[in-house]
Parts: sequence; C-alpha cells; structure tokens
Amino acid sequence: MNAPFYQFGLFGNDTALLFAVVIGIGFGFFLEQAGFGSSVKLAQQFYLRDLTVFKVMFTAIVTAMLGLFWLSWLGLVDLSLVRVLPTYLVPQLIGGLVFGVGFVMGGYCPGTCCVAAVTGKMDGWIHLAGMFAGIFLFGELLPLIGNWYSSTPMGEITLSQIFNLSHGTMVLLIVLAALAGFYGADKLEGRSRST
Amino acid sequence: MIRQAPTHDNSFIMSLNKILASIALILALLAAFIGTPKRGDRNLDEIASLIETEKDHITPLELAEQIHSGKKIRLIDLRDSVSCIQQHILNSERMSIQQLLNDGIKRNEIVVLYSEGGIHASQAWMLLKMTRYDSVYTLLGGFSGWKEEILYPELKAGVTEVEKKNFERRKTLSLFFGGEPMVISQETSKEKSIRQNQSTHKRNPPVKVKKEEERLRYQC
Repeated sequence: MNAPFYQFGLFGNDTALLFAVVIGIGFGFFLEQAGFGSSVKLAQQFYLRDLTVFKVMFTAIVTAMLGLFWLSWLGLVDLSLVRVLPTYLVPQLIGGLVFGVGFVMGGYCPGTCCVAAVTGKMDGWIHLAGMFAGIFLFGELLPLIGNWYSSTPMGEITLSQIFNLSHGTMVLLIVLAALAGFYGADKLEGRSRST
Repeated sequence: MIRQAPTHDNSFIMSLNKILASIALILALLAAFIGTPKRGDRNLDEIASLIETEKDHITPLELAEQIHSGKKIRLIDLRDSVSCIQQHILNSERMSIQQLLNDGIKRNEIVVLYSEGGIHASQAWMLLKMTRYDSVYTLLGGFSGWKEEILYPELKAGVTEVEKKNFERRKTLSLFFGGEPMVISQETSKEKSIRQNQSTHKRNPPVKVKKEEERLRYQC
C-alpha cells in the first residue's frame, strides 16, 4: 500500500480526523514551546528584532525537504505521489500580501492565533474571530472573484522545474540559503540587542 | 540581585545547532551529487501477482457503491466518442490511450479504466502499471458489465432471499446512476424470452442471407 494512505483507502474519514487531531495538537504544542503564542514576539519578526519565526519555519522547511529527498532515494516515498499545490501567481501574491498585512497588524498568523487563544490571550480570540470573519467574507465573495481567483495558473510547479535544476542541486541551494539566513538573522538580532 | 541566565545551556544549544547545521550541509552536498532520485520501473512479477490476486480490477457493484458513498474516483472512458456520447458512466471522462499516457492522469489519484468489454482497458492498465501508476484498476466486464449489473439489473421469478436482497442493493444504485431496474414475473419472463428470440433472429439473419448481402456490399 502506497501513500497517500487516506486517498488510497487504507483508512477512512474517522481515522483521518483522528490523525488530524493528533498532528494538530503536536503542531500547536511546538508553536507554543517556541514562544509563538506571544504577538509581541511574532511582530518583532517584521522589525528585524527577533527572527525566531524565520529560523523555526526555515528549519522546518529544510528538515522536511531533506527528509523527503532521502526517503525518496531510499525508495520509501514516491515523490510523484506527493501532492504539490497548484500555483496561481497573481492571486497568491495578493493573498500573501493580505496575509502579511494581517500578520503585522494583529501579531498573529492563523495557526499562532489559535495557540494564543487557547493559552488565554484575549487578542488571540479577537484575531481568531477576525480570521473566521475573513473566511466567511471570502466564501461569500468567491462567486464574484472566481475567475480572478484561478487566473495566471502555472500548474503544480516546483523550484527544480522553474530553474531547470535537479532535485539534489535545489536541495543544496536551499540549505545554503537557510544557513546564510540563520547567520544573518543572528547578526541582526545581536545588533538589535546592542542598540 | 540580578540573576544571570546559566551560560552552559546556551553553549550546549549553540553546539547542538552547529552539529545539526553541519549534518544538514553534508546531506545537502550528497543530495547534489545524487541529482534526482530515480524511480525504477515496476517489476513484472509484481504486475503478474496483481493480476493473479485480482487486484487489477473492480467489479461494477463495488465501483457503484464506492461512487455512491462519495469516494473520489476518476473514471476514464476509453471507448470511441460515439459510444461515449450515447451512454456512459456518470462523471466519467473520455480519453484515448495516448492521452492517458501523456500525463492524462495523476499518479496520486484512484483511476478506473473502462472500455466496451474490457480489452482496451486491460491493455491501457498494463501500460500504466509498467510506468508505476499505482492506483489504476479496470472495470470488470467493461461498460457491458456495468449495463448488465448496475444500469439494468433484473430480478427473475423464483430467486432466493439472498438474491432478492442483492437486487435491492443494486436497485438503489441503478436508480442513482439513471438506470432501470426490472422485476420479471414468471409470465413476463416467458414473454421476454420469446421477444428475445424474435429480436435475436432479426439481428442475426441466417448465415446464407448475410453472406449474400456482404458479397453485394463489397461489390459496390
């Protein structure tokens, strides 16, 4: 039996929801442990004073990327079966901008506002309410913006395909970028602490 | 009194970070040498085993039940366009075998192939299996089997309770797919067999006449 297991019928909806709950609890736990339940800490990211978010997220990317590559090399994962979300360039750029503005203004992203809310922070609850209001508004507006929402499609494209490089070369470039980023982040944080 | 944070924890974390960064860099350098991990083509023994254990196909009843329960299955109709337009399975897509092979389907979706009887579907299945499409199946009996079992199921007179229960299950599915389930009483079954004999005679005239018709046609 190959992954993706849910899609190929290894388990049904009930078990899939159970997995989702377990993964969600784990995700929330690690976010909270990293200090991401604090809007102050998260917003500092954008003022280049505390780059923990950048370091944690990029570490997760590098870990998953190396894991997938080597599991694929060992024959345990078939990369062609891993779902890649399709790219719609302009809508996703605009969506990213909206996400970023909300993140700076509120100090939370969708995942961290849940963490803040359940650890008793009122601003987390307000952010959560705002998130659901935004989801509702988007759902109501979708018939009007549907064509634009699916404009500039690029398919299920990866960085390897865009730059015409092998997976391994792309892995190396991203790891180098990550390490350079971590070094730069440490320097920026050090400078910010000394001022 | 100002409490100082213990420095040995920070130095331990710094060392751990350096070790992890070094491991990541080594793995990335090795990955660059490997390039793109290759996926080997499927072993023929594996394919033979799938056929022998009947994991290469799905019956019309199983397919109907899975679609009815909302399972996401992609149905591919490999028949010609005329047959497809006349009648096809709900939500199926028509594709040629060439289109199928040229990235017509994704590797991570469940696909069921069907043709009229099943030969083309089996051939396409074999080609896809050789290139590692894992979740591909053929419809047992093809569209003909689908019509018989799902679209036009029949309950004949004098059957057992088990068969009656089975028919009820098919009846629901038949109506869902726009079919016409039929209950045949003893009288109508006799009438129907007479009608069948008559219509068979009309479709297949005696061989002598057919050959004469063919001879004349070819001359034209």
